[in-house]
Amino acid sequence: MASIERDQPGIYWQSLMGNNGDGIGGNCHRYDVVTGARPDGQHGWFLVDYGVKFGAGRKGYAAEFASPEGLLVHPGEGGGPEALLLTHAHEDHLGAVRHLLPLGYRCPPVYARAFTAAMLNKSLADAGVEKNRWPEIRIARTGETVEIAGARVSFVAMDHMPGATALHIASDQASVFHTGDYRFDATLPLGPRADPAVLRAIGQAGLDMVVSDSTAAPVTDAPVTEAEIAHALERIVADNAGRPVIAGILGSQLDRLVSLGRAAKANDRALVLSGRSLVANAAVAQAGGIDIEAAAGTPLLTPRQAAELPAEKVLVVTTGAFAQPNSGLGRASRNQPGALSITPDTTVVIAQREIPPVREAQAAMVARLEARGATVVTAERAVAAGYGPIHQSGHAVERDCRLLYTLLRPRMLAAPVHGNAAQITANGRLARSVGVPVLALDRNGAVVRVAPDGARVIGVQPPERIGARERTDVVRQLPKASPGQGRDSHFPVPVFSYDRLDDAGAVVLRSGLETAQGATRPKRPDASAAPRVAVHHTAAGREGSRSR
Amino acid sequence: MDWNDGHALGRALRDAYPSGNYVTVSDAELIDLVTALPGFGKTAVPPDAATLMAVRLAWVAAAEGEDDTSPYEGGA
Repeated sequence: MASIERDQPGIYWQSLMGNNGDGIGGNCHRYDVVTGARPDGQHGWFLVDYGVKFGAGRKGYAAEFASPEGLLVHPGEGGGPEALLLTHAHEDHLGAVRHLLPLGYRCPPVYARAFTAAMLNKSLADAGVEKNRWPEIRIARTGETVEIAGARVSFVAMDHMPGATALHIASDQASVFHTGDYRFDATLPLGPRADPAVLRAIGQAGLDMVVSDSTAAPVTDAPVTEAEIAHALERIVADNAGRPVIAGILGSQLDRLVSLGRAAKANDRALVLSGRSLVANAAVAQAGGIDIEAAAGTPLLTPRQAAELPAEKVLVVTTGAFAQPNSGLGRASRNQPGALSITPDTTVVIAQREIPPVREAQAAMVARLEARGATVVTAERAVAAGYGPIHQSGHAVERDCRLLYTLLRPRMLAAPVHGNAAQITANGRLARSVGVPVLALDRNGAVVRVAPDGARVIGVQPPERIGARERTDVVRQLPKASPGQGRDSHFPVPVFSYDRLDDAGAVVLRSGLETAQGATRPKRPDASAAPRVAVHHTAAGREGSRSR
Repeated sequence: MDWNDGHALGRALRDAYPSGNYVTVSDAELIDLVTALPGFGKTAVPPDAATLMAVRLAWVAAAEGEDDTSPYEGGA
C-alpha cells in the first residue's frame, strides 16, 4: 500500500481509531505538523490518545487497539512520534499503552493533566509493566501552551471527568481544536470547568477545524446538571431514613461520588467507599490535589473505619453500575465472601443509566439483589418515582454540540469522531446546522490536510488493529498473600496473545504479535535484556514512523 | 522489602494497619507507615512520586480485591 506523503505545509489529521464502523472506542489520532520554519526537516508528528475499544469481548478479545506497527518504534530506534497527548483517563483513551509496552514498543513522552498521568501509571502498575518501561510523563496544566512537534498545543479544560482536556493545536499554517470527550456542565464539582469565554476566544482568533466527540450527539433531551442529580440523590437517601443505603456508580465517576457525599452529609450519614476501581481513582485524585472530601463536605471512610457505625447511618458508595462481576454490587448480589451485606431492608441506588452492552447483566444483578430482599432504585426507576434523573451522560448531547460549534466557529471543517455511524452523522448534522462544513467519516484512515488554502482529504490509508486475547491457559502469579479478606490470595497478572485485525475487526493474522517474554512479569531481574518482540510487518507496516 | 516491592508492601500495609485510610493517606504519612513496617529495609533514598503511587494503589488492591473497572466506562 502506497504511503501518503505529508510533505506540504499544514496540519495533517488521521483517525487511526475513533471512526470505527463497528462501535466506539479505541480512540487514537495522528497529527502531523509541517511548518516552514523547523530546523529538523520542517516535519513533526504526535499521537492523541491510545485507547482500547469497547465491546471487543463479544469477539473474544479483552481489548482492541490501533496497531503500533508503523507508528511506534522499539527502544534504541529512531523515529516515531514526538509525543503522546492524552485527553483524559478513560480506558478508551489510554488503555492501550499497557499493551504497547509489553509488546516491546517505546512510548514517546506523554503529555497529560496530573490526574490522567497518575491513572496511566495506575494502569501500567495493574498490568505489571516494569517501571523501566513506563513512558516519561510531562504534566500539562489547564491553560498551558506547549511546543510539540512544531505546533503550539494548548490544554483547554472540558467537562467530562477530572483532568479532561481538549487540545488546541496551532501552527503557522493552520489550527485544529480536538475536543476529547466533553459536555458542558458548570456544576460538576471537581477540577476546572469548560469556559465558554475561552472557547469563544479561540474561535474568534481563527480556527480551521474541530475534531469532536459524537457519542451523545443524537440525544435531543436537555441535559441534566450534576447539581440536579445531587438533589435527586439527596431526596432518595432522605426517603430511606432508617435503612441501609448502598449506591452503585462507575469507578471513574468521581463527580457522582461527590454528589453522593453531599447526599450523605445532608442526611447525617457517613460516606463509605468500597470497590477497587472507585477507591483507587479516589485515592489517586486525593493524592493529586483533587480534594473529593472538601467538595463533598464529608470524610471518605473505608468499610473498616465505618464498621462500628449503624448501617442506617452510613451511605456506602461502591462499584457495579455496569454489573461488573468483581464489583461491589456484583459481589453483594451473589453474597460472596467479604461482600457488602444485603438485608431485606437495604436500598440499593444505581446512579447510572443502563447501556445496551450491559443491559442483560445489569437486569440479572438487579434481580439477584431483589431476590435477597433489597429495594433497588435504578436510574430509570428514579425518574418514574418522581425523583428526577440521577444520571447524565458524560458526553455532549445535541445542545452541547451546537454550543461548541457556535463558540468555536471553525472556518473549514468539523470532523466528528468517537461514535458509530449514527452518532457521527448526528454530530455532523448539528455542525451543518450552524454553518460549519462537515467531514463525516464512518471508517478510519482518511488523512486530512488543513492548510491556508483549505481542508481536504488527501488519501485514505486504512489502519490495522490489534486484538488482545487473554491467555487463560497461562497463570502468572506473584508470591502468595496472606488470606486477608479472602478475595486476593494472589495478584494474577493477565497474559495476552495478540491478533492482527483489519479496520473492520476481522482477523488478518492470528497471534501476529507476541509479547516479549517476561516483559510484564514482575520481579524479572534482567527485563532490559528481554528478547525483542516478534513483529510481522505488513506492506503498510513502517510507513508512519518515517514518513515525511 | 523495599520501595520496589509494591504488591508485598500493599499486603503488609493492609495487615499492619487494618483501620488505615488508604483513600486519603497523605504522601508523608504513607512514607512513615511504610518505613515503620517490620521487614522494610532501611534506605536513604526516598521514593519517587510514581513509586509512592504504586504502593498506595497496591494497598488499595490488597484491601479491596480484584479490579472491577468496566470497559464501557468511557461511553457512559
